[in-house]
Amino acid sequence: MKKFIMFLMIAMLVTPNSFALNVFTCEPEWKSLTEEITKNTADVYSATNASQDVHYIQAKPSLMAKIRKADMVVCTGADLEIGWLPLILRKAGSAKVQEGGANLIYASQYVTTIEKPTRIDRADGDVHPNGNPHLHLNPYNILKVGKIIVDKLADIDSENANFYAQNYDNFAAKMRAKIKDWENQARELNGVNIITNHKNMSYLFDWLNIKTIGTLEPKPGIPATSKHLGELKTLTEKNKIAFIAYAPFESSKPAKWLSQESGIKAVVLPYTIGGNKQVNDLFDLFAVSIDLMLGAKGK
Amino acid sequence: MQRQNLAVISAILAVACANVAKADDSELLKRIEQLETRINELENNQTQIPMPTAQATPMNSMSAFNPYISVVLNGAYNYYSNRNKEISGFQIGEEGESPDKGFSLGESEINIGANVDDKFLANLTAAVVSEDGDDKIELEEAYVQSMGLPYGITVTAGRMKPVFGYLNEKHAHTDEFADRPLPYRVFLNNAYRDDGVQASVVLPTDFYTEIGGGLYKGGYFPSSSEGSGDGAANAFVKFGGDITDNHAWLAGFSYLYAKSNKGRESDDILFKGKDNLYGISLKYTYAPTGNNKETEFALQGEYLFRDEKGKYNIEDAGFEQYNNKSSGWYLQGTYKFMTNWKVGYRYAQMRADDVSDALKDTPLDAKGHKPQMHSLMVEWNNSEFSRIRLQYNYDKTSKKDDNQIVLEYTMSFGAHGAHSF
Repeated sequence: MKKFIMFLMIAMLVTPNSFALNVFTCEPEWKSLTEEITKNTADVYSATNASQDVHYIQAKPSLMAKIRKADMVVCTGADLEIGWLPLILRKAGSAKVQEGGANLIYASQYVTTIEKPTRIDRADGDVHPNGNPHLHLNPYNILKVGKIIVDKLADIDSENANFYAQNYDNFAAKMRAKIKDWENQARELNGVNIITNHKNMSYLFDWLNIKTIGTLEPKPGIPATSKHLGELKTLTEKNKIAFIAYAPFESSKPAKWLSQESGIKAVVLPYTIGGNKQVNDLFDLFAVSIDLMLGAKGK
Repeated sequence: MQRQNLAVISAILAVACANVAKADDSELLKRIEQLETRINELENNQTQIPMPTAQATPMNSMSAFNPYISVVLNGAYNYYSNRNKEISGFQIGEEGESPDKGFSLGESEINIGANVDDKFLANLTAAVVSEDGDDKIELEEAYVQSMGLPYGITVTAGRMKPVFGYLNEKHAHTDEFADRPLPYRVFLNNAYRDDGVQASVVLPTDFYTEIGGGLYKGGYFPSSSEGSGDGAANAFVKFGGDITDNHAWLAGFSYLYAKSNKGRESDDILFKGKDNLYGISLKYTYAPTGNNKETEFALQGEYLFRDEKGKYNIEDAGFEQYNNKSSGWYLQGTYKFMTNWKVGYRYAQMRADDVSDALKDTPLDAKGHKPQMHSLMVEWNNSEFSRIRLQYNYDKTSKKDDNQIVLEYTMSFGAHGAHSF
């Protein structure tokens, strides 16, 4: 009896949820996308939430515990998680999810990144040599990355390959239909000028042909200064600007200041799942973002 | 592709027609409608999703540099009103002493590393230090480490900073204060480094649990061994996790055994014997909304206890047996109140044992004095890579009261550093 209890305890310690696939994602958008494909059959975890600036996350103990059990890892790459992901992978990741391992997916490998700097110098701020990593805000990229995830899931769990494929097909069909609606709806935003805090929503603006003509940060990763905000004020006087956008994890102060000075509306866009109470999945993310931008632009 | 599909579909249609020849027209029409929808879907799929393929972009660009190199430069200006060179009741190593007054270069550190292949990574950290007018290169770390071993196992071999407490394995430039807290200066000469092998396991528990230990040559303070392979050993266990999204914690218990049969020498004090060092550490951080970029409060504290058995020879007066128990602790709080600014306060204290008559009036005789230090600091970080820090220490490590001011810069360039917790 004693032996049996010991065995049970060890079994519980060693194999919690052994029946479900453990997927570690770095950001809520990849968690949501993976869940569209696995439905409720996998244990999907997101290392960060919408109120956090992903780049500044530390290699917290909780992340090491989670990645220790991961069968698969889905992250953005392109240096977005460079401060903490390599560290936790090294410390606790299995061989399959190590750099170069079969079950580690970097989304940035499968889409064309934009805003690749031609000069790699930190005098230009915290530049990303591989281009802008915030690539999930273009729905076409979501479809591409989803395809990679579904193929990988089929590899790892071939028994359920058809189930995953069917879920992805349904998701993709719905997404494709929605993209058309959104593109029609956002026609009013085509070609407008805007100011953003940091270039972390460029893919959204790029998709809808919205032109970013200024950033509240003087340089990437360097917070707004009064001198720079003064220059932006002059910019708003010379150009027609539709709105000022920032993300939920960013300080609202510079955006609100400029809004007050210029009369241009400042709007906090959801950025990812949970960035706004109404945003519970990827469809909400794009729908709510477009609604907010149209509202902020006004007539 | 398109044509093939159409051919297949026509074939299916033909078969379908043949099969349902006897069925009534409405059913047939329904089937045809269904097939048409299916064709449309297939066509949509083909035109709208180009098959994604891996492109010659991204991944983390660290791996574009093989090896990656990062450099940390550190320099300071130290002012003392009444410098205490000793810490009452203790023998301290050279690096545990307070830095020279006036301008000084701290440790300029060069770090080179790479994944060797899919199973090993290697890392080399060399520090260039200036001691008594001579520039010396110190090999801080030169280790190889396993990657992706099963069961969460990691094995490290070579020169390393073994895990002890919270701070020992950390590089000094990631510290929150300009100097290491008193217990680290006294018991570990700032940080214990040595040559050996260390293994650790991260257990598959819901909260973070890591256990580990290692064996070392015993070539560095607090050890000084003839190199029989059992000069020093460590063992540790760490626990950690999150409480909601806004709180994170890490606790540890550690043990270090250090043998000094060759003799640990510094400032005319020679020790032969054995140290058993125990540590308890706790770190806790709170970030409102979990976003540590804007605001973060961090609390960190450690208690170290040393059980030492052996004999001391002071100024060649001959060896005297001195089995002693001493301890030290510190507690610090830091508050990042804006993206670029952080303030902090630290209190540290030591307690030495009573000495035997033979050691009366030697540096080991604290005469009931408890070394203490209060530290206040403010730092400005222009970016993740640069920092300027001003620190004030009220130093009562010896009989004199000393007011210290340190102004220092720390700049790191090259490969992006890690945000360790």
